[in-house]
Amino acid sequence: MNVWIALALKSAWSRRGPLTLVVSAIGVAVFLVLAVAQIRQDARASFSNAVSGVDLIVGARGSSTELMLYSVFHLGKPVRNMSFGQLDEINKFASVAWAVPLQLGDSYRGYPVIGTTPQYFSKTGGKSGLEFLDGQAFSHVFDAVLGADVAKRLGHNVGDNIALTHGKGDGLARDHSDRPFRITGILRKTGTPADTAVFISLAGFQAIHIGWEFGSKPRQTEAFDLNKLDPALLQPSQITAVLVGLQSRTQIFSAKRSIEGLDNGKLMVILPGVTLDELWQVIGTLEDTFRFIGWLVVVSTLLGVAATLLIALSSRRKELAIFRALGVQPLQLSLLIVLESLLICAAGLILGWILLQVTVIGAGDWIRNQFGVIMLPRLPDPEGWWALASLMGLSILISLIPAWRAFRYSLHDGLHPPTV
Amino acid sequence: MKQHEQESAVEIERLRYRWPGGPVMLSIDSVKIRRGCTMLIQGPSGSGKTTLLGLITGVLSPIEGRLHVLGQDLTALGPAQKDAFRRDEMGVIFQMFNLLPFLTVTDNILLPLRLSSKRRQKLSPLTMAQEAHRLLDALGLSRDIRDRPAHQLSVGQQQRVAAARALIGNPSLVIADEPTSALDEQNQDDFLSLLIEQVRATQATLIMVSHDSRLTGRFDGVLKL
Repeated sequence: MNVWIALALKSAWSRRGPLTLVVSAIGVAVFLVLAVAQIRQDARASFSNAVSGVDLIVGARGSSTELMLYSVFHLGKPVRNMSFGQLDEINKFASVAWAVPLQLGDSYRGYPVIGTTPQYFSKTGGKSGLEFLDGQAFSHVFDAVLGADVAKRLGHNVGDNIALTHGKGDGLARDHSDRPFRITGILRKTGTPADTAVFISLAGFQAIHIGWEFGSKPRQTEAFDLNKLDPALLQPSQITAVLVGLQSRTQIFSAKRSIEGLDNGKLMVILPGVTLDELWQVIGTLEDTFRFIGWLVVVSTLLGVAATLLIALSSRRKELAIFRALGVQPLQLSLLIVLESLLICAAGLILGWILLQVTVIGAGDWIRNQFGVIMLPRLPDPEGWWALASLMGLSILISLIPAWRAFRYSLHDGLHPPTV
Repeated sequence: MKQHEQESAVEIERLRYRWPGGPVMLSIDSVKIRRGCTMLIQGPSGSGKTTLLGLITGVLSPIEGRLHVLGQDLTALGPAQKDAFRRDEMGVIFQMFNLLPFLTVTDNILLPLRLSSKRRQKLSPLTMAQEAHRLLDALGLSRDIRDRPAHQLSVGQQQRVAAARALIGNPSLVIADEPTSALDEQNQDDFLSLLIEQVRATQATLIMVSHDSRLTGRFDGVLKL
């Protein structure tokens, strides 16, 4: 090993008590910076992955961001629905390869319930579509398909019966327990919002709401009997949104215009990628703020490191004199101080990265439930590497303060440091 | 003339030194120290003994005069060259605090070899560790302190380890600044005997500063400042 690295390591090791605290402080600052970078990257990746394969989203006129949030991420609540008849109109366009309707509003134990068609499973979820871990898509009115996480966390298997909840609320009066659903399939984990959703047919969505037209649970006059029901009642009149895939992506803008012309212009068509970008622009300011705070913490920590080295230096003037007697140049002593600070900083970087990975492993599920962002332990991405490199650069820059002092000491003291 | 210079370890003529902006601290007309001899420098406090050592080791630069060390004109060398010269050709012993506290005894002794390839080359056929241990034995230090951290040693042990470090790699010049003044009388005698014995064994030159006049008889020459 190089003699200077060995000296720096041994010197640092002899002061390992205080230096452990310094390294920890750097570790926390690095954790903060890396976490901000990784959350940003992973949020973008998760969200982009969730909209992959969908070229257009159609809904009632309103906020484009909200339409995307509830149709793709099942976040928030739709304000207005569109007419079911428009689905057929959309399908009539030659440029439209497929159109999958969505009906939202109910939940099952906190997980969103989505009324749709079996096509949903083959068309969304990226190139391969959503695969079934067990069972198959729904085919009857009271059949349900569970996302991977819903089934796993609630311990459900194919064949179990479940009772859905009206809206997002809890409480006995708001459940659909009189009309239980049977689980016919469980999806494979995808890392998209499909993992945390329950899927039923549009007819099923209609069936549980018969008698709920006024928004509250109907009085129980007689047991609900599907066979006695007029089949026309199961035909939906309204849907929340339609996901559209096109024959070719070159037709996006013409298809968008065509669909917007339907229903007297009451429809809104969004490009999920573009809307996501808009969303990121809004969030970007917040991200920048976090990043700024992260770097402030880094700088203040590194200043603390410089202060520690500076204080240590005055009691190490004798060591400097010994090195001078051995023919070491003042500049080399300055570099030794810089090297020490680099080693401390590198140890802090590694600690910060490990802290982040431990957090991601420990709290990954919680983050995903709360924010829909999938975080996995990994090496830093280019942005992370850049941040780490800047940190090293900063630490060199700041260590120049004690290094300069060491230079002055060694020049001034020569072989005779003042006895402290 | 050339041959004459080769025989001198130190040659000084009309040498003057002062701190930048300060009064003249040292002024020496003429001094010649032969190679291979042992020289004691004596003088009252403030007479410039330590400053002279600083000049000879090249840590300080004179404002005027002639200063040749081991045949080399020090005033012709830049700061980095003087540092390299000291690294390759000299061993230095202080009054105390000679050792880096975070290194073991052996690592402290080996430092000059690790820093200077010229001193490393003088070793063969012995390995670095063998030479360090040979010097420990020669200076009367027990073998079980080899791997101890330097700060655990007594002052007497520290001074001997410092002597071993100054001697390793056979430097031509050994500089010692009051190396015995922190020791008790018995230790002083032993230390000095061992140091002079080792310096003679390698035909090095010893220049030592001390205020202790009892030591005068043990040196080849005495320089009074």
